[in-house]
Amino acid sequence: MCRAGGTINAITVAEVSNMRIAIPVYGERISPRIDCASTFLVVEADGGTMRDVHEAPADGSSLKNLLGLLTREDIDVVVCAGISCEDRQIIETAGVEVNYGWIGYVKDVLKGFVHGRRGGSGWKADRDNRQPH
Amino acid sequence: MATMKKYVLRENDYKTILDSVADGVFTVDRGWKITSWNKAAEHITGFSEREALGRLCSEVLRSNVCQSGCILRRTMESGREFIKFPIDIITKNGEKKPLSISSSLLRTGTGEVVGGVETFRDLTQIETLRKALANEYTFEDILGKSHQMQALFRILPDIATSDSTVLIQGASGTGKELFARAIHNLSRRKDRPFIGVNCAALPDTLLESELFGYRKGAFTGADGNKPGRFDLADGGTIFLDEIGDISAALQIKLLRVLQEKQYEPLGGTTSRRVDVRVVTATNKNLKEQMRLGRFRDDLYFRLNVICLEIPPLAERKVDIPILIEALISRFNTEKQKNILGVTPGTMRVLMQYEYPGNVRELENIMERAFILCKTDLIDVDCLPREVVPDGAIRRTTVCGELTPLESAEAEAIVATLTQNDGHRERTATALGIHKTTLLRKMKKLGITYP
Repeated sequence: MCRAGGTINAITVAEVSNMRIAIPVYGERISPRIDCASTFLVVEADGGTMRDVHEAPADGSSLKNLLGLLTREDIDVVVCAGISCEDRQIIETAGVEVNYGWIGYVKDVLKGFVHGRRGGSGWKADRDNRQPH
Repeated sequence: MATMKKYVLRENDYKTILDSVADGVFTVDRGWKITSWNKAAEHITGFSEREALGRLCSEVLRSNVCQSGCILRRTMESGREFIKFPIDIITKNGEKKPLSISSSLLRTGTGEVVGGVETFRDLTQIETLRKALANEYTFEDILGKSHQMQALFRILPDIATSDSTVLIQGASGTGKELFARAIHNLSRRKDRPFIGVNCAALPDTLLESELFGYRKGAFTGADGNKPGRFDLADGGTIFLDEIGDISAALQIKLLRVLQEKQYEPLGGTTSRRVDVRVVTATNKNLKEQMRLGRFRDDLYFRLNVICLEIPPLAERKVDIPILIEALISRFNTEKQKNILGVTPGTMRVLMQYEYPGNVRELENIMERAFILCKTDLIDVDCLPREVVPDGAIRRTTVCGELTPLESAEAEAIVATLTQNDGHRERTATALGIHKTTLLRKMKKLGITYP
């Protein structure tokens, strides 16, 4: 168990240069749970641009498998939606930052992450695009 | 006679009613967007109504079936209702919770399907208490994400179904009995008894009568027949803990049970036949005991058909966070508290400690911390003195071949990490860089800390 949410400071575009990011994906959207994902999108962010974008199959339910992917792809940050505290702590112990609580389309999440458009309390990305009732 | 005026429910009343229900309730439209979210749903998932409304239900509920077998989708597609379907979710604060969910179609007064409704109940407490009462531990209760434990998990189901004798080796407090129980509960014998005996806890003569029972008149005071543990375990599993401590005489008797499946009770004249699976455990090196002539080699080879080595906690520190989480959840239930977790400083201290008493020691540390903790997070001052090193965390190391410039950079990072007790956010702020940059530099320069 860990602290709920947690405000994440905004980062500048310059600070994410040459950062390798892994995102669990489900179709065009970010996977609701990292441990249910079967595909990860690997992206190298260089300033405001993305390069070396490719998909990597991985069984998110196997932490060993996931850690193997993160090492193989030399990932700096995992950007995800739901993740259990124990999984997050283990990934962080392995030296990879976990930025969690994102939802929405992968392209919006990436844009939001790279441009530092992040809110607090684990709700990010398509906050403004909700359907009205 | 006074006339009662009929009260007509207004729209707001439905919300009040839903909010008064103890189960989580939410509704979705045909596009899977949440259209209502009651108070219990907020409490169970941690997401407020404001956060949930308009979202895709899979992105708020975050269950293990959302991607692969969504119950609500199945209901919407087939019209079939699901009742008390077991799932687990990840709450807003990262806790995994077992739930039972039920789903049905949401129709208008004219019968038109406009969406679905799902109700869910938190089973965390029930599940914890049920398992504790039934001693019904499965492999899922043996926690560990380390590669050593994962390797054990992979072979355990096959071992459980094999019916062979198992020898479990591991230091005290590593959870050998939990493994033995899990093996039993996964085997064909699961509906028969599981009988545990600690061979080191009883003197030799008493242990013999405990294991094999006795007949009336076998010794002074034996005024009736008494069944032994082997008798009681017939059809099931007997777990002999600390097997390395039994005498030479008992070793022979045990060997006979293993070879011939029969034994004689103390004072008995006829042999008894039993169908028992034997699982043994020891914290001693039985091979070494055998070399020293203290343990029979024929018995050793009988017991060592399958050998499981349980690693000490110090060798699988990656499992500590998950164990801490499980202990917090258990103690919250047992002690009626609502502790959310441990502070980052406490986690670092607990990750550094070597745990000579293994998981049992971690359990004791957490129980003590629960008693002393006055807030919702366990801080370092709730930990025993021997666990907290003087001056807190100082285990930063630099390795690898570095250029002079990199060395200087590494030294600055190590010094600032030390000043900030390993706190990455504060270290990054002190260095004037972002936390992500710090992590990347630490990784590049080979700087690690617990």
